[in-house]
Amino acid sequence: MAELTASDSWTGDFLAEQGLITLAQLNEASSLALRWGTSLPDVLLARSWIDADTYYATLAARFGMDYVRLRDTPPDPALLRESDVTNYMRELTVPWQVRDGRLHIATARPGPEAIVYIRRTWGPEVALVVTTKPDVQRAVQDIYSERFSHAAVFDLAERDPVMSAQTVFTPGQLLFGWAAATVGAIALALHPIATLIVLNLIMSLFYLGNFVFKAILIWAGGSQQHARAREIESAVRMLRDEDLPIYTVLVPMFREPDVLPILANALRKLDYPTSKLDIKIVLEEGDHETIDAAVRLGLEGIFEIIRVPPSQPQTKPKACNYAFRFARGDYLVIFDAEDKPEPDQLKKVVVAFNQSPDNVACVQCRLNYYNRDENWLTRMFTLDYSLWFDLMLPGLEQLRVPIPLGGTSNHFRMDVLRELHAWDPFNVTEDADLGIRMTQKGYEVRLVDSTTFEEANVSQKNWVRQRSRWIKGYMQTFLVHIRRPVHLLRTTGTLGALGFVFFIGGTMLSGLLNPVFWAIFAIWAITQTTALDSLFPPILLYLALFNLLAGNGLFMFLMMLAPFRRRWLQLTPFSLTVIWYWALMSAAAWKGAWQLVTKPFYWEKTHHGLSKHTAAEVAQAVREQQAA
Amino acid sequence: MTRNRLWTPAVMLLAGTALLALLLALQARGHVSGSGLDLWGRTLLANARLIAIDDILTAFPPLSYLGSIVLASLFPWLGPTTPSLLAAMLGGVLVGGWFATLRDNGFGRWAAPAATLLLGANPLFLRAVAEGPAFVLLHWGVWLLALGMFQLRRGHRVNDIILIALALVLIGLSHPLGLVLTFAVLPFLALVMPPDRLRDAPAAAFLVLLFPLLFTAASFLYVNWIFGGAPLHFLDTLSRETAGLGTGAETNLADDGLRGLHPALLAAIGIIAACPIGVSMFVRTSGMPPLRFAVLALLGWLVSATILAALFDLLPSPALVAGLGVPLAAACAVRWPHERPARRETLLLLLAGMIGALVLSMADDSSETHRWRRAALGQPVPPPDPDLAELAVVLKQHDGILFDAEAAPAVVALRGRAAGIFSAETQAFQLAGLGSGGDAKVLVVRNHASSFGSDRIGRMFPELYDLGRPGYVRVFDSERWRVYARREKAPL
Repeated sequence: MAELTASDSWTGDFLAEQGLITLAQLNEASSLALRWGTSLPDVLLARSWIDADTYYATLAARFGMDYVRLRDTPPDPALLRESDVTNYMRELTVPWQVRDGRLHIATARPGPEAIVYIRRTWGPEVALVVTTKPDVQRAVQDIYSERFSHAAVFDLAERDPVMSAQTVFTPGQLLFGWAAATVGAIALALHPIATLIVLNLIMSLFYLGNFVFKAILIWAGGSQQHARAREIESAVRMLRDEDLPIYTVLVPMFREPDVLPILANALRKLDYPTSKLDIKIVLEEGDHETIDAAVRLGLEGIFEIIRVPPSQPQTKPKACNYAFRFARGDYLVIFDAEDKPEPDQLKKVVVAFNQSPDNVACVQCRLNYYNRDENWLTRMFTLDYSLWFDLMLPGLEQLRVPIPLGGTSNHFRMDVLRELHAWDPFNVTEDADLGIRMTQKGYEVRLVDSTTFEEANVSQKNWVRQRSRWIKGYMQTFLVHIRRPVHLLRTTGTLGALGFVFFIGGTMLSGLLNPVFWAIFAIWAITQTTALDSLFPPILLYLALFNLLAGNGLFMFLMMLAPFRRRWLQLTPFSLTVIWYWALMSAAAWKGAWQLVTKPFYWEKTHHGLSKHTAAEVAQAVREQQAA
Repeated sequence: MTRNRLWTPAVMLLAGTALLALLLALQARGHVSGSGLDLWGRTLLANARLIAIDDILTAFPPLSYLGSIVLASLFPWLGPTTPSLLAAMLGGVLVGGWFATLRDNGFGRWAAPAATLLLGANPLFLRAVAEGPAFVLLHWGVWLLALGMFQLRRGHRVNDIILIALALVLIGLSHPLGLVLTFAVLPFLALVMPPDRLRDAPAAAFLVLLFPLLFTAASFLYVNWIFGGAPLHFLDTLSRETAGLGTGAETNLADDGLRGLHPALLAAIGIIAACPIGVSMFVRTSGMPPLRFAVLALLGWLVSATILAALFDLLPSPALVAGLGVPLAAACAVRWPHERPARRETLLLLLAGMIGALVLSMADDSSETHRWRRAALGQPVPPPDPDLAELAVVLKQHDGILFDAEAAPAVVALRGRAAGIFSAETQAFQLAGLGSGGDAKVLVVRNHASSFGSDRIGRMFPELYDLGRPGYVRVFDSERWRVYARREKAPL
């Protein structure tokens, strides 16, 4: 059976001797520390069985050191180096001040390991003081707040501007668009019917290509899935805890205090040694309600809270860009506040990275919903996500087409993330953009069969808001990566470039075009007018009819296939009602297109916590925490 | 590129060429199947624009028809070999597909070609190819369906659902017998569905498998409604002759009672004879429910469909139906659970199937199989329908013929050209409908008392068959057809 470290055993006994904790608390904290794979002091602090000030002051007294509050006497910024931030956060040790000609180092984990590290880094002549873990974290954040805040917004735009969505339309794109509009107008004026027929033909061919491509994707994606999943599962069983790397978990949140217990509970359930987890809850500095809730829940003992300074654009990628600079893991993953990842997800990802070639920089896990049976929308959304993550993305992976990453549960290699300047804060689907950018830079994305369950939108209005952001982001992504078509073709290959056009372009364009074709069809079907006949010469009419029947039938069928893998066939009949879902998608597409022009960087916030299931999840999470 | 991928196109090409050569040899001895003639006749009419495009789009079964029209449009010089080429191409690719899947599933360098040869040279498969592209498409459908059904319960992959669903669409659109096959498969799908899915949501499980078929059927009815004015418009142009069922069903229960079931029983036994590997697989897979249930379902399906086809009076010649056991045997060989990689047992079972198929093709005394057998043995072959052949000979000498050609397209094929015929879509035909007879020099009419009933000419002029028409003289007379030619005015 595993045992506490010598340092933890000694600390526990010492605190009990001092009467700062009871023996019962010591026993319980010891077993929790073993179960969570974390240190004894972390458990005591997380449980609030000992006050942080008391603990660190006692510890300082025990080692004969001074105890300082960095909040009151912060470190001298001149002593810190930006390139060492990761080390400061990992070792919880920073150069503090020079006093009496002697450098003083502040540490939140006094002990033999820290002393060795300090002497190796700063030499034997330094003096030590003790401080608290939150103080170290906060002090480093304060010093680099301004610099990191600027970098979070402008790093990509300044260093790799062609990959940044800060410029929505480049001059070249505007010129091209305007020239195309002019040619179109001239053609319409001179040969209106022929021009409309050509436009009709182009759109019909696009529809045909779009649904054929997606059918091929599904087929390709289904071929090898199970074998790979089994391979990874057996490799996970062979992993030893001591071989696992440090893993950073970023959880960006904004005004979501209610779902914190779900998050805390889900993260605690992760099958990964807590001592190797670097969990950062990323909050906007002004979001006091969530910060207070996190503090009240005692999350600071285990999770680090990163407070993002206010700046524009106020987007999730900007917050992540800020926070990831404090990360100390070899890998990094993003979870949303209400996410419930499957416990073995991190281990599966580690295995996947281990088994992959060096150019694999990201592993995307599947997303799905825990409240799928709540109403019609949640069912349709579940079908949609199942189709996307369970069937289409594996197809993209199989065909080596750039994968637009999903909103959360994408796991990165930290070195590559730094090299690529992380997320584009001006892109409102920054993950999708990053996936494509990675492929263009020669990296690959892999998928792993592990699911993170989220809360599906229960309200259509909220859903349209969320989807409009996604589609606007797809438009931004498309505009960014199509700036250099030859480069795109060269870096992703013909199939990759075609796949990008159909998958990213097709998703947004079909949402925009569907209402046009539906309206034409409805007018024709209801009025039986012959006015449209000239726009549909026979071959085009048959093609359009084929698209209408085969395309819609195929997409419905694909929707039906989506829940098969997860044994959720009771959702299948709802696929027959997908037309209304597509109508909502078109509404969102037009809203997104409008916002692309008027408010390109505006982040349409999705409100979480509206689901009845989420309330139940919160209650259950609180109960489980109390029981733990 | 793997060696397998290099060899597969070569096998396809080789098989396609061999099949085409065989078909041309059969043709040289006078053998063209009734449905092949029918298809070529309709293709001639379509490409001469004597059938409206709306009627082409609403025709049933559509796949072989559209394929033949496209091929004939692309390569007009192919002439009457077009349907044969289409059948040979489809057959060749199917044989290549068998080879590729056998290789992918562990058949060795010699075992795979040997198994492919035993399947591709199976007399019942050759009989199906000689029948025309529609039956080869049915073979495709059965093979894909079998692959999906074998794997679905085992692998739980969506690909297998797609295979099953699309195979059902293919079967349904290939041939009228396909309608019976798709109907007959319903209870057997339950045997191959993963039990947990079936238990949780049986209706949804069936919905996902059948949706493409149902949606295709609904789309077909909708297309008929748009272009034909009624969802069931295709029934107006569908006759037994155009449906590829030959000149009559092989069973007639109303007249013969249970004895009429004899061809069905022969066909059912033939399926087993052509696919002994299926029976053997059922015996050998105890303890492997996914495979055992699948092979049981597939054999049960084909046998039940045979009986149902007989009951619906839609049974083609027994050799054709029994031939569906060949693609099933190919799927069984691929999924055979034992003995890798020598495959001696599998090869012996395929050989047994070949011998069974040979016996069955000798035992089948239906007229079409009889003609095929004679051609294959180098003997003279009678025409598929002497009545139509004689009619075609007469019409060869004339132009300006008012003829409901869609009711007997084989006549057009036997005549060799569609030019000179005023078919239902022409102005002359429509003028004739006004009662004048138009400018037609020749009137062709079918006997309303024949098993096919009146054609459109007969419906326009109900007394034409019996009484003729003033100014016209009868130049051809049979129990089904009569031809009247305008009496030429004597020169002054």
